Amino acid sequence: MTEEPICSVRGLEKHYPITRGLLRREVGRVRAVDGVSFDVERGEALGIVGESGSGKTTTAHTVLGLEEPTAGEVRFDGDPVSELSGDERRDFRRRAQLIVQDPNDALDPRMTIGEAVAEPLRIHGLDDADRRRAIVADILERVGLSGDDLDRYPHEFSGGEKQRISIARALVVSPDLIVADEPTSALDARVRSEILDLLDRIRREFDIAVLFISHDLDVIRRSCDRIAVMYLGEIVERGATETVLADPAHPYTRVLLSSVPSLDPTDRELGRPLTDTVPNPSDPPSGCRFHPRCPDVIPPDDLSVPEETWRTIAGFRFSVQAGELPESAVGDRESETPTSGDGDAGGRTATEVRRAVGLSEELRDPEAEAAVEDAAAELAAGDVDAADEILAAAFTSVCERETPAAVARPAGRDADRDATGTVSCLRHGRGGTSEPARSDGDGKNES
Amino acid sequence: MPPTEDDPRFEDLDWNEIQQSKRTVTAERAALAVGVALLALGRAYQELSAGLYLIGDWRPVTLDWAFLLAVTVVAAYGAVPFAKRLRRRPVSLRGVLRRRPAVVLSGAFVAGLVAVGVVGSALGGSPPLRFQHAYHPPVGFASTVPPQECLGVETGGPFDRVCHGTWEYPLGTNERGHPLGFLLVEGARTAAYVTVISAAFIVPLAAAVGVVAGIRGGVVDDLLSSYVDVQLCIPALLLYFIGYAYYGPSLLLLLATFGLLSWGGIARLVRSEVIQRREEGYVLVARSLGASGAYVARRHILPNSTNTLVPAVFQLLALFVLIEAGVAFLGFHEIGTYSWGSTISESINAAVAGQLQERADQPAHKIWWVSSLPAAALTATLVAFKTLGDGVRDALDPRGDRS
Amino acid sequence: MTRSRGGTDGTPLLSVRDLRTRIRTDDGWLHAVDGVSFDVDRGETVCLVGESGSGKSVTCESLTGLVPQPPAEVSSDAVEFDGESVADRSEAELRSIRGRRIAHVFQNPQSALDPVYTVGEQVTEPIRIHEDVSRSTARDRAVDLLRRVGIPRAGERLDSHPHEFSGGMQQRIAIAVALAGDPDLLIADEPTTAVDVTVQARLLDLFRSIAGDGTSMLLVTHDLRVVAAVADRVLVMYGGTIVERGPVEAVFSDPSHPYTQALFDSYGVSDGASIAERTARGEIPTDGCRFRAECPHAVDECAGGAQPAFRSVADSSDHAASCVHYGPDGDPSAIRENATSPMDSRAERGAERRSTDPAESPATPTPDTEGERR
Repeated sequence: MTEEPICSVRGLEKHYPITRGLLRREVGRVRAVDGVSFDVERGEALGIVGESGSGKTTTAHTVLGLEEPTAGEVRFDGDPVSELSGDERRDFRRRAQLIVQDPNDALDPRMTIGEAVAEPLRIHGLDDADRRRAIVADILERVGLSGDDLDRYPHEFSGGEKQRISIARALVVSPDLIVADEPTSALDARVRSEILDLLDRIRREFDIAVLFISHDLDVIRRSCDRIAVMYLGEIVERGATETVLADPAHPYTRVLLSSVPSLDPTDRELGRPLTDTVPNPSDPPSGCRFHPRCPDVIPPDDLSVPEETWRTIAGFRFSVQAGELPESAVGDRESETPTSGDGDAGGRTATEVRRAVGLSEELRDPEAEAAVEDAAAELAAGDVDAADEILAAAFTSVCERETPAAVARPAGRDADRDATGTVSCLRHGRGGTSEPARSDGDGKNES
Repeated sequence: MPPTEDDPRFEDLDWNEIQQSKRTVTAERAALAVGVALLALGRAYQELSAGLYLIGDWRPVTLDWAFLLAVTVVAAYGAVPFAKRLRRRPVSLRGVLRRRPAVVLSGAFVAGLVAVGVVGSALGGSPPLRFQHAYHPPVGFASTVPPQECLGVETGGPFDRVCHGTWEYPLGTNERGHPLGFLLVEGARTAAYVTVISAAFIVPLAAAVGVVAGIRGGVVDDLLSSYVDVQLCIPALLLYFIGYAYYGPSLLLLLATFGLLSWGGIARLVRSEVIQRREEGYVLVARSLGASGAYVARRHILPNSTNTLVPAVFQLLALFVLIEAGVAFLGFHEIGTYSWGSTISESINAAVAGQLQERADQPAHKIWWVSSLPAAALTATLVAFKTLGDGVRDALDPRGDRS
Repeated sequence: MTRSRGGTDGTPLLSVRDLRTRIRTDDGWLHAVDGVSFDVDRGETVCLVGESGSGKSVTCESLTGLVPQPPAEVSSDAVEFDGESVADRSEAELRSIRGRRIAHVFQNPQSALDPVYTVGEQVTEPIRIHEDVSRSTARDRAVDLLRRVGIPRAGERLDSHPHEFSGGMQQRIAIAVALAGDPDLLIADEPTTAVDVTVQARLLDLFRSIAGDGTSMLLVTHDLRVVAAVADRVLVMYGGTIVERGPVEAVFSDPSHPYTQALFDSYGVSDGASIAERTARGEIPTDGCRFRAECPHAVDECAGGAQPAFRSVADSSDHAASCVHYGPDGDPSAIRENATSPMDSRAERGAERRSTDPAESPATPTPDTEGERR
């Protein structure tokens, strides 16, 4: 597309201060969105996918001007939204519409659906009640409801119908951009696909850009041209939906994809991150924010152990850091590693700890061996903090020092960056020397 | 039906044509303006005509004007929207009467109370003291504490006279010979003053504070909330007594102290409702459409808060009636206003109310009607407010019984 | 901690015959569960899958008397648990079965856990109710349980309150509470619906490990992916009836009831040409085949009487559908044509995205008035 994008987001940040006391002294800030950039082209569907706490909903709200960005800029049709005023601002409010997640709270229970769908018209100054009614009746029929439903209240409709009403309300002022925040997460599968089809049809028919916010990869896969994956306030990977989902470059995208159970009951393997704890967005990890959970975290340069062993060590280290190890260091995180039995509730030895975390064999690398042994001893003695310090000092990954920049996804290294998308991962971004690691463990040992 | 191809944009509204028009005239505002204008005229007339009676022998005082203003406000923002609503979706009175007789009855009672308040003032006038007619029993009953002049049938001997009720005083009389009917109406007038003035001035204040605290949040919320907390700790009765020490008994003082100190609970309620609702999807959508905070509060938050707000308000109004009766019962009321509370008090022990007289030593049960009738009226008022509160709540909720 | 799991004589652990639950509403009786029969074998995981309103949750709650009666009325030919009838037990007897032999896990852990009590107190409570053990024994058992469900540093966190845990962890604790009585059957109602996908993956792992320990499970879900991940057998519910049942591989490789096909269809597995053009949804019928109003293959025989008898679909006698077309006089070939198995390829997990161009895709449903309100 040669036209300029309908919505363009650059370096968007939204921080929520954590305050204390009557004077509201700031004691920290939740970095809900922390430097996000993307464009929504006219008529396209862009999906932002991420888990709860990834900042995707905050991004949506900031794009719509419901929240003031802490930093960065949102441009709508070329104009910075924060600088709009008067008629221009009103125009923006009309051309960018919101569809919210829960159909049950999307509609005011005290308003008839006629009033609800007419509300945008009313707010935007269409005072002629009869004309409003005619427009609303027409639009209701277009989303698959009847014009006779005008005087009924939301509670008389099913979830899917309420979501259709929400769509009608967004559509009624001829918007150019619809932000759909989890539009189908509260719906059954069949209703969900009907709603997605309706949104799809509307998008094409009226050439409206749709920004989908969802945690559901099925929804994104089905409805979006492009996808952006968010983790802890940052976009870690983006690109055309097909290519990203077929060949995910970022380890987080891979974890996300493989966590979705397959519809094939004979294939029951589910992906897993290194650790399960999602870090607190008020204190995000340094470097790459995914590194404490990343199965492909890059080993220290001076470490000479096999990739598989490194992953176990990294798992050990970050489990200690996240406090995910049981106090007895019985590696029963998901009951795959053998438990040391229920009878030995007394003191632990370093050997038991090591066996529990899967590092019972002596490591080839003497320094690594010493560090693991020391940490295990500290853990056996019950000093988790000391163990954490030892491990952090011995196994510092580049991922926690360097913040990865967005680079072109591997598939399109020589192609147009916009077409193939970008990924923010040091596996891809260190001067192009290191090959992207695969979760099946063919990553190169970097010693 | 699938959309037709010839009309891709359902209706091409030219958005450049549609200008934000500020509709300044609404039925509510018109009603308020007319009412206020009429009141101003009346007041001016009273001033200019050198303190003559306004209507008949009625000389409205500040309290009366406050009451009339309050009636105007309540009518403009209560009755007018109600009428609008009825016009949009008419309901048959008979249907409602069949389904919710208690609510209709309560509504009629409260309406009657307010009507008595309005009309009673104008009719006004106090019947003369007729101590010789004290303690006539109601019609159909007999009294062993007969008045000096019994207008009804007298039975018994000279030392155990029994006076039977007379149509002259259908509900009996009190120790001053004031007919109970008059006292009940006067009491109703006081109750109406209390409720309408509170409803018109206190409730909007509480709602405004709650909405502002809830929507603004932050420091504004902190300040308002802590102010409300402090205010809830001050005993209004104490403040009234302090005022009483300076200005003497006054219903206006009572309303001012209790009114200004008792809205905190409602404000808190509204605030928590606002905080609960402000993240709702429809509020987000309205805000994304560029709706102002005031619009959102008026169109979405307050209507959705009625389930808790309306019963609480009606309960508060009932409580005000009770407090006024209580204060009057204790004797801290204006002598000239006859509250239900003071009437009860006088009957139980006339001496308490400073009405020492020969029969004050009579046991109160012998003159039961003087206390029972106002007590019954008071109870009926409380029940009516409670029932009406629940009824209004249900009527406003489309999910409930659409009555 | 593992009790011997009863006999291996082949009697199912739970056997339900013709379970019916109707609920009184303002508009009359709602037949939420309308003649449901199924078995859960020992050590087996059975998934009850259906949409909201299909009666799957009410079925589970009816089994152990969790549905409030009134307004509900539960009746059945038989509900036998471990060879004994549960149907006409007193409330007290049901309570004892409920905590000890049959445990429930619900969708929302926040409501299942009491915010006032510590995690330790809540996990030890069922142990101490049902067994006469000392406080310290119960506490040790609680630590074991929390460890088993994957709570890190279980011993330290025994004295924490539920709000100090994330949603996924709360669900684990709720599962630990359910496992505390060492139940034979765990009934889980949409246990992973409220959590993120990575958390769901861990919970599904946990359920599989619980199943691996020999606990039978009855899992209610609307998500076919969850079914695929944990189920041994599947029961597909629609309109208060089971419409298809069978081993999970059989049902997923060969969805046979038109409703099951429609369900798979909404996952975008096939191009959905046939089902998408289904008729407008009206009221769900209360007799015959409940799906007939939406079914593209509906014929006159679908209406009236009881639901169509279960007929085995393929050679496998376990896999059966309640559809007249599979009967002696029926011809299921038209239906079979539509059966697109998600197992045909794993492409759906990869990149394949069906064409979204409306010109090419006949899948776009006409926005008919959907009368799914009830």
